[in-house]
Amino acid sequence: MMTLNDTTLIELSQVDPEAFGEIFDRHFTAIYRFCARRVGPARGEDLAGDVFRWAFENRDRYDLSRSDARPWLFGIALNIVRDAMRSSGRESAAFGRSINQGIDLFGEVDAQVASALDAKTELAAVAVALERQPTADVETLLLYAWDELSYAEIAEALDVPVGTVRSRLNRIRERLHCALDEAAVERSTCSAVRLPRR
Amino acid sequence: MEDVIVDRVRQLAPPAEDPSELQTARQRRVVMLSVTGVAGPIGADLGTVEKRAAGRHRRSRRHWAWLPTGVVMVAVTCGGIAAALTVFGPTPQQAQRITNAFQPDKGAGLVPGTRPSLNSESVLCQISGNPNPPGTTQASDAPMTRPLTAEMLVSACQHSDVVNMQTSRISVTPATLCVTTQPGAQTGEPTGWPVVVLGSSSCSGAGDAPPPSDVMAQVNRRRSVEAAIIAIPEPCPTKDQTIRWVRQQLAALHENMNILEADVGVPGGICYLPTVHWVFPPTGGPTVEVNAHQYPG
Repeated sequence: MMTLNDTTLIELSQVDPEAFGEIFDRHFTAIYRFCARRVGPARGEDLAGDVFRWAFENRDRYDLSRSDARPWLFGIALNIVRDAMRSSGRESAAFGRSINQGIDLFGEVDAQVASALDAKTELAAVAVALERQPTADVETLLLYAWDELSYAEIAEALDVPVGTVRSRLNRIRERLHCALDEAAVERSTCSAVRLPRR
Repeated sequence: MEDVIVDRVRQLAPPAEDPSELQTARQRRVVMLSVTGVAGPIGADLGTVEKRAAGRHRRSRRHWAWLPTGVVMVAVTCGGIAAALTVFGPTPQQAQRITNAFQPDKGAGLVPGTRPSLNSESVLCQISGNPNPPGTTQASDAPMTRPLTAEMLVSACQHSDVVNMQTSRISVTPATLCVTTQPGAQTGEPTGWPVVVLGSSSCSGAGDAPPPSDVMAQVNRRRSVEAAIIAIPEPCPTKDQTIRWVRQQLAALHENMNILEADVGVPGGICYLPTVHWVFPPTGGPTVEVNAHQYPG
């Protein structure tokens, strides 16, 4: 059985559009999860479909030097989710609502555990701190932590150098560390990275 | 960067289960509808995208390669299966098998067709004075058993989405059947492929050549070859059955084509069907793709 890589399939889809179906089959689950986590499962399904329709319509823009279409699709998904949030006026609330869902789930799972309260408090602190971070940094961190993209894939998805990804992750991680460690807030490193409340 | 922060952020991730089979199938159908333009209801929100995609599909999906001329009626038997190859087109039995096994394709316009189209039925449509590459449509409106005529090729272009999708009125008469003189940069069809010039340009004026006297014999031979290969008798063949069938037909027809086991069909596809690509970029020559199909499922 011949297995074609993403680039070959996208190139092939220029003359045989049905070849694009394999791109859908390979990546729909990951793109759906990306969208569903940010806007909910029902809306996420529609947006995930939009990602592939847009990708097909613009497949001539795909960089054929890349063998894996995943970062490209995540980049499209980011833009489509941003647009959807912006158009519905929910941009600032979206991450907060998503994160609160995560906290609730965590609370339910560990409700009987003695340390759960502390853990939940800690998570809440991270959630609150996340909402205060620059959107670009948060997007970068979530692509890494939630969607498990590599640094190189994130760079491709966001169309920034890998070094920028690294610095964004280091910066936001440092800030979140500070949010978790009250004592550290007094340290100069934390003072330097704290941001004013938005 | 594996540290407590990443771990905590992961715990904050809202639960997102994998999409259900229904969700995946639903979105795949919508996406592939916009990709292939296969007949189906066109939603208001997707209409523009689908029509554009359908037009692109029509212009780009069909391919061609040289085939021998001097066609004679040949009847061959291979492995107990008779494959009749005539200049007149697919046999009724082949047409019935193909109709049962493959999705009805579109007719020349943006309307659902009543039967599957054959890749050998593609024709280029070139608009006089239009610098854009010619579009492609299918001369598939007539019953499959009827041989194609020059008039059918011309009519297909005159009524095709190539014409329908023009933003300004164009003349579809006169219309002249010609053949290409060089490989199509956009469409892939090589030299000698039928092209209908719409409007007042002559063949040479449009950069094409007058058709040879046997142009329709070549077209109909390709249809016969394609029909013999894809008219597999089993209603829902396995991959092995289909590959065996294709090999038998190629041997009987004395055709040299690549066989591609693509296996990139739709989820749940259980029937393996052959498709003839007269030009297939990865291999550069006529190729029979054996792939999983959901229809009939």
